Amino acid sequence: MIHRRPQELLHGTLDVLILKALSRGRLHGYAVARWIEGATGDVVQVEEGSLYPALYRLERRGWIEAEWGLSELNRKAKFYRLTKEGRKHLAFETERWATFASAVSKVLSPT
Amino acid sequence: MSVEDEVDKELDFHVEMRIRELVSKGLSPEEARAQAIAKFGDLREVRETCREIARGRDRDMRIREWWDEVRGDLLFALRQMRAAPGLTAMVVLLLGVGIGASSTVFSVVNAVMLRPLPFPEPERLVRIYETTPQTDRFSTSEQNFLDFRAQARSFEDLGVCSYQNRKFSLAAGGEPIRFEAVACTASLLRLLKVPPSLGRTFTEEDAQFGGDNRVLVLSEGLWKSRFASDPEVVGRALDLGGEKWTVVGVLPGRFSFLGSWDAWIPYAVDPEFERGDRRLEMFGRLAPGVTLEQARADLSAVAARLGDLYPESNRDWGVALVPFREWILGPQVRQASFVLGLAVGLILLLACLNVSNLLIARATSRSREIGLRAALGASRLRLLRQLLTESVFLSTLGAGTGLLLAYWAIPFIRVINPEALPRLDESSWDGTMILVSVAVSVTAGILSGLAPALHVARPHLSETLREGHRASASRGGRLRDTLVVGEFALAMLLLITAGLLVTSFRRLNAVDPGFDARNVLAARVILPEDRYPEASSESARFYRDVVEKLGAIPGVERAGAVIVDPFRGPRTSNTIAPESVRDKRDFTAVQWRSVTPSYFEVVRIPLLRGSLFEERARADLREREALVSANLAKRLWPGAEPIGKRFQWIRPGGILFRVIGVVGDVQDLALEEEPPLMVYHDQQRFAVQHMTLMVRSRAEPSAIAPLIWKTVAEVDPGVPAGSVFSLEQRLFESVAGPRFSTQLLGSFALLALAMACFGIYGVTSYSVARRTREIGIRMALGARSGSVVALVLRRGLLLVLLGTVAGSLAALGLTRYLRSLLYETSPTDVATFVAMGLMLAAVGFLSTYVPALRATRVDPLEAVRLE
Repeated sequence: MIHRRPQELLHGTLDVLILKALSRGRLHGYAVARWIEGATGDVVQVEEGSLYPALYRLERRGWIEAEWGLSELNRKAKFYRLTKEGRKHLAFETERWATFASAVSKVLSPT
Repeated sequence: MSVEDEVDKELDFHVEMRIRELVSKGLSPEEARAQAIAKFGDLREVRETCREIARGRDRDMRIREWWDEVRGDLLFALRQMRAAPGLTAMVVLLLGVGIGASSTVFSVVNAVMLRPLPFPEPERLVRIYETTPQTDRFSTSEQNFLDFRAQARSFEDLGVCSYQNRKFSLAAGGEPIRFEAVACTASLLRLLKVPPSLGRTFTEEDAQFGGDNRVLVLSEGLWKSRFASDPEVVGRALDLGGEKWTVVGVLPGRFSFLGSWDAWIPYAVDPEFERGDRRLEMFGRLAPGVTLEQARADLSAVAARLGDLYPESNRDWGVALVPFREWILGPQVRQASFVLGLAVGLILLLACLNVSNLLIARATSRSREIGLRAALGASRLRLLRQLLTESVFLSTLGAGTGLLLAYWAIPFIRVINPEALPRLDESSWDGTMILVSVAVSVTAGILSGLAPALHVARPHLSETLREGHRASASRGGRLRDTLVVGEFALAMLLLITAGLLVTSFRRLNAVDPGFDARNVLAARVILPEDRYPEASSESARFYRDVVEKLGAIPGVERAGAVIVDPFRGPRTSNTIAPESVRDKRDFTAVQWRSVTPSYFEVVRIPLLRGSLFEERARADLREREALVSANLAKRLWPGAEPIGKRFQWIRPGGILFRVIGVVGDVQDLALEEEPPLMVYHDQQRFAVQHMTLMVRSRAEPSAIAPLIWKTVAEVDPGVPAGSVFSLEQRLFESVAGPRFSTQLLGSFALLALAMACFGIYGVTSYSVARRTREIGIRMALGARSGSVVALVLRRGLLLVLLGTVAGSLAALGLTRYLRSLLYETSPTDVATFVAMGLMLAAVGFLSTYVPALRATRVDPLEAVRLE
């Protein structure tokens, strides 16, 4: 998945990554992007063009909620965090992804 | 913050942070900015997408919030109701009765009046009568019909049918089936435009004069019941009384058309038949775009032309057009439905007023709580909505109760009113009614809740917090008093309407029909046309023999026969004039009856002068004889001796009849009309095909009844048997319509009375409770219980009086619309107004008396201590 163009990152996958990012606490949009890049070892480059619509969608869905606060640099920023529903969905998706990944690697591993 | 600002700020922040990052990695600020923005792709598009999603998010949130509020209101309402179960039960019951009554009446009115007739474009169908200056509804003749059809330009088509139906007897393996068929032209079925469910209707070939014409169209009912819905029935040949008839089609559904027919047969118009002999009933369908007025003018012009061409038969004859709906229902039914609808609306209004009253009392006691809510930030609208939710919820429960009541009431109404209202049996508990009930209940809920809600949720809600319970209650009390006055006014209106209808009905019922119907059994005989041609000696002999045999049965006092089917028809009309009269215009319209000589004794019509027909008509009689009714004798020969006078039949130079006797006036068709001018013919000389046998029995009628048709069969077994009915029962049923309206409206009026009294009882009790302190002080200061009662009563009576007067005034203005329903009763009949006013006042007085009495039991010490 090296430098995949962001459009090819499935919606669902980006959503799960965002949820995971927020599972550790309140973050603003930029911090979420940096965390995903960092956590994947810069393997996944998140295009801002898909990140923010995903955040708004997740907010509408009710899996994350937002409030305005002050960033580290005392600038006004919109902070997100997981809702209860979001937490449940994250757990569900994590398990599903693990099952999927192990199945695929079983297929792809040298016999 | 608007959605646009939100998105912009967020994206700008991200770009700033990205620039910072890139600058820290060594890029120049300009390069950093360019790269940061480039990373977004199409920044503008991203902004738009986010904005759209954000708007959707806000919308969803608003809906969720609204829904939460509504749920909260409902739950709150539920708690309130549980907290005051008695009040809830009363409110639900009141509204239930109101809504139930309106649903029932709606379903009745819907079936009878509103539901479209089962023909395509029924508003274009008209019934057409010929008229003279003296008779406004008469039949038409064959030649006239042909000319109308040829010359009228405003009709798609015209058709006729003969009111004399044919009774058939079909022997089909076992018991012979009997059914009735009406004869009509092919054009009639065509213009009705009811498509046959099987086969076809008639063509012109089927109805050629002189042709075979033995084809039959079955009604769906007959097809299902007697032919077991056989899909192969078309083309089948039936043996009907020795004749071969072919079934050509089946007509769907069941629709009453001059009666409920089992089958239709073609009527062949005879172009040579006497133009002045009118026996056909004409119908037409207006051409597209033509109004009733235009059609009227068109046909009147044709009639005038015919009058010029054929003065003997057509001079001064005109036409009358009646739209189908009006013809089928009659103006009385329309008016009655209207009055019923209005009455039930009043009941509903009364119920709402009562409920309002109850809710105001409760709202007042909650005014503190509501004031608190307001102080905590609830807007007035929000509070109103919450209060209205409660009352709408209550009225929904009321609607449920009401629908249950209607479910039982509708079949009950169908039972108590078998024949009176046409199409009543179509009324049912169905989707339309439920929809109407829901609409009504929401309106009722809002209406009931509006007054209390507005009363409590006033603009300066902070005042509500500050003011004492008492002040708010006193404002509420005045409001309630106003409502009670309204209730009494409505009740008065209903009582007067019902009272007028009751008076009218009693007068109608007391009308002397001119004959004695008690202990008389009757049976209508329809002679088969092939063996008993019209006006033949065979019919005369048949009836003479049957009547003679019937008279011989032990237990039978007297037997006779008459042409008319009592209180049903037909209206046999014609014109006569004294011998010397030359001008047709001076002829008098009369009704005529063909009777057996014994008829008058059977139904006890008094012979006033002269003599009756002889039992056995003398063969050597040279002159034709007739009997006349007293009012006719007075009209034609005022002040002179009518016996021996002669009159001309139909036209100048027509057959002469000599009057041999005068009998009492009789009304045997419609009690609300004046007894018609009547001529009686001896059926032996003036034979007719179909007559009603009448038998006065000494013994138990049930013993005689089966013997009637047995006797007929003895004389001629080929005559199909029919039913036997009691003349008294028929007389009773003839006023079934007004009876029904009166009963229904009477019940409504009593209901209204009960509700109004309930209202004032509540209001007076409330007022007593409010003034407990004042009453206690008065009693402590020595007032006697009598004066306390008087104090309370005075107030209550004032309300009752105001309401009664207001209602009377309203009634004076409105009852004139009842005129067509009232028989011999003025819409401002003083006796009724006074009687109802007294009744209302008396009952209202009693309803205030009881709580007033309770006031005297107030313990002065307790009262003074009460805050």
